[in-house]
Amino acid sequence: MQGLIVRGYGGLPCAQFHLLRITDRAAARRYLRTLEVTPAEKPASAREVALHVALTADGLRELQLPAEVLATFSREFLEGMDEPSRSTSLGDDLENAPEKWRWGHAERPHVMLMVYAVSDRRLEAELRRQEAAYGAGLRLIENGRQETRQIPDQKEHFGFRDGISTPPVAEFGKRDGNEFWTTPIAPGEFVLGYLNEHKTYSESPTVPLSAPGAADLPPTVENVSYPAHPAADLGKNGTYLVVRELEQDVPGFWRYMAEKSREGGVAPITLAAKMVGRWPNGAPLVTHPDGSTAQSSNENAFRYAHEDPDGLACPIGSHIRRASPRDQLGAGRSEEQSEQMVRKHQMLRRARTFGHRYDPSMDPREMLAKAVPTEDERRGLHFICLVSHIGRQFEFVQRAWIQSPVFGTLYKDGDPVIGGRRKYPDPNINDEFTCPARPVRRKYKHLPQFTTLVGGGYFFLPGLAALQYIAREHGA
Amino acid sequence: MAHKVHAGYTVLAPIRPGHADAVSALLRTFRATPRRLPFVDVPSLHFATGTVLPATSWGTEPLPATLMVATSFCGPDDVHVDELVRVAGSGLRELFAHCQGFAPDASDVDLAEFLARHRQWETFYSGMHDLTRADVLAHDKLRTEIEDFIDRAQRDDELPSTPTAIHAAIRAFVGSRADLRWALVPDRRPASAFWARHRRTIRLATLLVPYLAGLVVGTAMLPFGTWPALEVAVGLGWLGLFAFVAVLVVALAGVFEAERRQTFVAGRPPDEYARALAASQCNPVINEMTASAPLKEGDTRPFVLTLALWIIARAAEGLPIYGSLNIPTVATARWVPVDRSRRLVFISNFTNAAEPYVRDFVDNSAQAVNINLTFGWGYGYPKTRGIILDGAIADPNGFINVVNTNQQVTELWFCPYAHLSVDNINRSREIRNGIAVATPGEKEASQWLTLL
Repeated sequence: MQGLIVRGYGGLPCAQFHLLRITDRAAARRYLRTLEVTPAEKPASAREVALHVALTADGLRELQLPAEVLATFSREFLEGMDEPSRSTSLGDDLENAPEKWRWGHAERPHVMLMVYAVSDRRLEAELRRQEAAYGAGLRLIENGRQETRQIPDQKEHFGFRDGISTPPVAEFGKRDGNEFWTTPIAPGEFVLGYLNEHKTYSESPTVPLSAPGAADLPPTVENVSYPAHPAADLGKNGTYLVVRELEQDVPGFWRYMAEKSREGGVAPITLAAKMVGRWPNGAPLVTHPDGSTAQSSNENAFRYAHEDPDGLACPIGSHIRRASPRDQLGAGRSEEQSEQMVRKHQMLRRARTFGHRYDPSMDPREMLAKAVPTEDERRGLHFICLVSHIGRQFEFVQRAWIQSPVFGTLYKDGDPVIGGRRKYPDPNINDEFTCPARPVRRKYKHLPQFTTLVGGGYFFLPGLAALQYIAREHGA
Repeated sequence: MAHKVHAGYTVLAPIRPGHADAVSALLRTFRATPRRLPFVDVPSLHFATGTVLPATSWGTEPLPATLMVATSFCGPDDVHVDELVRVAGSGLRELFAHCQGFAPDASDVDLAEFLARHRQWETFYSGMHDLTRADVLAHDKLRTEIEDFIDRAQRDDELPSTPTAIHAAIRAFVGSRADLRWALVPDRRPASAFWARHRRTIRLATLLVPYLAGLVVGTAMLPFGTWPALEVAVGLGWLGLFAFVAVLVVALAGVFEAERRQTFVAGRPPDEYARALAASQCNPVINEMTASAPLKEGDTRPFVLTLALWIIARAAEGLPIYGSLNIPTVATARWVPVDRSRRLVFISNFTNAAEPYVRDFVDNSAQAVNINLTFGWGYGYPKTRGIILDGAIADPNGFINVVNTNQQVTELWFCPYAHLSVDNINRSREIRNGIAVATPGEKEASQWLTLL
């Protein structure tokens, strides 16, 4: 199992991802076979560098994986993130349309190499080593060098602490007693070949037992209906990786907050916090409606159904409420039903920020004070998540919760922070933000888009045995 | 005042041999040119689906290609049929001309009779009650105008500070608008609505209750005298009851045995087909799904399915058999037994894209039991145990596969308010009911304002 599944490498703050195309199949295979991927078992303390590799469906095709094997991968993965009807339903249209992406559409990558290191010097050295190693068989696609730049205190570029709600995972998740999920999520939600929250196995790619190389893979677990016949489990210890490069318009974000606060209602930082669902220091609005804590917070054990059913503290349409509605899905569902359903749509996030900070302090007050573009630099977030079922987890959340104009009790809202915007005269506009309040709510209409999707793809992060199988000679 | 009970009207007409493709093409043409089948002008109509159920078989028994026209509507049946014939008669004639037993030159009366003769009973669920299409649209307009009023008042700093004062200001605004003033009058449900919704259960109860009560009383009386006629009647009564129970036990045993023997579970459908389905169901708010499949093996399965659907239909009508059904995100759903219950068709209008919608069914175990009960009959559905156990609960992947396999790319469907979820519709009605209250208390007004 690749180590990325069990850890996010908080201790390796420097990272770069290379999006590559195969130019020489034999050389690419050699490189993949000899790549020293960091295994999950390797202790974190003994590590200065971590290496991971993931492949797209195009990459597997290019490596001539047999068609009968390829067909067992999930449909979402095979079609790709930029398949037209998928783009529409995910909200990857208009400003986010694949035709406008910097990478992932005009030239889809085959392979993604992910390098993490303890320092910039160590990262550079490892990158040079890898470039020399893959150079004969792979080349970078246009804009394929994905640099990252960690912001202290877990912040993302708008100035909010991020990555607080990563779900605890049975068997390998870290527990700090501060989670919403008191029972850890089943590992099969995030790794193929293990029991998931349905107490079954997610569909996993397989190899016929009689095929060359199948003997080196573990057998499929006996399952109710999938696969229909015993086979070798190519997915075991692997998973799917969803990657989306999101550019963040930081000056635009804070300029909007400043403008709207001048029109009355709430202070700019409060309005931004209402959209996010947490204060910049990470404290949740549900438990700190007035922002009373000054300390950085990882507080995550809060609920919605009783504490804030009408969204008066944390708006129904806020980003964190959409990303994980916890115990309140609405539409007459009980808390128990909501939790049971929401558990089945969790993602393991491994995001990394990129670009320079808009203001070195990352203090929203400073960013507000200078909320005019001062430089023409790209900054944003590499949204990366691990899921065993792209459709049930990532796409469900994106369609039904993030992007839906009628999420919860809403009519025309979208995710205020990361959502795409459908505007009038589209009959299904989602460019409003409803901020519940006493005595009556305030609506923010014609919301601009604060993030733009500029690239993305679905990858398969193979287990170590599967990587060897993929990299073997499959013939024409 | 006519009632506004939401019901389904499903017409099934076997297609003339060789005409199925022509009907499909015609339905697609009507979708592209709605004026040729102007459902939009049928006032009582909420949703409509037109599709061809393909020829298939149940075991060795062939099931013919069949045209299905399914509408959901509010109000009396005869009014709906009259509107359909009057407004959409021309297009319907074009369609049914491809069906057996229909004369292309049928008069309006003939067409209405044809619809009635080919109407199929069904289990119909509605997520919104006692609302006409005009109500839905009017409530949406009312809500939008109220929202705009609040936005303006907030911008101009003219909004009062207490909930009751805000409610009064909104009422004054609504009263000042001739096109909204209707909302100040409380909406009342006519008494006829109860009969319209529950008439089937009431009719059955008027037969069953006296029968069972007579049986109990008659049996209790027998030890206290000699009444030969009563003895015969009670004997026959018990015989009838035992006969029904015996038939039910045999039929259930047949289903359980067929469950035990089931080997086939649908696999993953071709990706191209799944992609075509997904592409046809990616509207941001309301989508439509039609799935049809012959039943699984088992000679007694059609009988048990018919009985189960009948009972579920009564529950869906809201009688406390096991409480009124609540299927979140579903505007309408119907289960139609076709070809003498050899085939089951499911049609739904729902909020969300189809794939998340289907996932919703199996995401919690209580719901998955209902799904087994209502969907578990179709060929390829994961193996159930005792009708409601296992199935989608034990094999959610198999459930998704069978739904995708049996779904159709519906040729024609219509929804007059595809931007409103069923939650939106019900919430807007609460807003409308709240504005009709002349003087709410502070708490009531405050709660009402959270709807906005």
